[in-house]
Amino acid sequence: MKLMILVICMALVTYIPRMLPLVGLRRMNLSPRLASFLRYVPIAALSSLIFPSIMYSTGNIQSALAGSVVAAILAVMRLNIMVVVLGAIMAVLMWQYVGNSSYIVTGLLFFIP
Amino acid sequence: MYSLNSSPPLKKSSHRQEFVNGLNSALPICLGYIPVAVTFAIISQTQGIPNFIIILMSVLVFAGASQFAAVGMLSTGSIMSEIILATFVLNLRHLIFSASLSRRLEKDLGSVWAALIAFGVTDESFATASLQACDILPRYYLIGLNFAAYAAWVGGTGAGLFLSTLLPQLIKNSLGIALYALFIGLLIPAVRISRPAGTVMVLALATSSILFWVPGLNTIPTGWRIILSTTLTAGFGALAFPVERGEQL
Repeated sequence: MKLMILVICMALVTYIPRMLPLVGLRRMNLSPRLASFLRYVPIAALSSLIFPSIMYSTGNIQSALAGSVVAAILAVMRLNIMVVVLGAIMAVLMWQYVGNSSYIVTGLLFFIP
Repeated sequence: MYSLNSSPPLKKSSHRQEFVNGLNSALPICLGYIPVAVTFAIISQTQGIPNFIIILMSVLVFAGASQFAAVGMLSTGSIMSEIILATFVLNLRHLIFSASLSRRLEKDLGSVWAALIAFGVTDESFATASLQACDILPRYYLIGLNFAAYAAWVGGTGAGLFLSTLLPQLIKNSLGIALYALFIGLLIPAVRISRPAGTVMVLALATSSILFWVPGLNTIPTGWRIILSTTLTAGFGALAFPVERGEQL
């Protein structure tokens, strides 16, 4: 029972900040400055979410770095997002399995159309 | 179904098509969510949390990092108010995400729709939706996107409850990069054509790193770090490179 109340409170403090701006700001006219700020939020937030947390996402900084580099290269090549994600996973897997960078290169060649 | 090239910008189309577009956009999110949700369920079980509470948390809260934090804090004997406060701080960034997303909704969208879409705002769904090339995001697209991500999260939690053996650690580690690779795959196409966006990205990477590593600042909890870094650098972008209404970044 105590845990259920906890979960419900967690749900409320999570949902309310998600909901208020979407319901309230929708049709409001914002100043150009604030509107510009909100346009830059996706880029700023994604960058802040990625780094440095990505370095600790696999339990091994080297393999995380390998996965990041492969993801970045595939993304620069404008490949489909699923290719980027699967490529990064494979890069980490190969790095951890083999512990050798040459296999990453092989993996990359596999994705070049 | 998937071409190797980036998908074209969303076109104006039927509700059904928009919903399907949303489901398709959620595919990489699902790939990232399922192993995390499975892990969440397994860790929570090992901490002695009842199955019913574990699944209820995924159903009602739907915010990965704070769910892990709550389980960790429960096991170290934190009191309820501390856990609720930590959840609030950790998820407060969604306030800014929702504010940003609110500018991209259909103009005639009712409050009930907006409130429904709001439930599914996560880092990943926000990233995917907000970096779509079109200016206005159709409601059925957002519902499809959020629904698929939610189903993967709740489904993954449910599956985790019944998986008595762990995924091999090697596979789990490799999947840890999935959501970050998704972010990279969304971010890079958005910044490569725009100098202002590129500048904001570099500044945000730097600010986030400073807050993470510099002694004294590195005690700032993750939730505040993301909020601070996002606000400061998006604010800089707005001052240095104002965007006109309807103009692409």
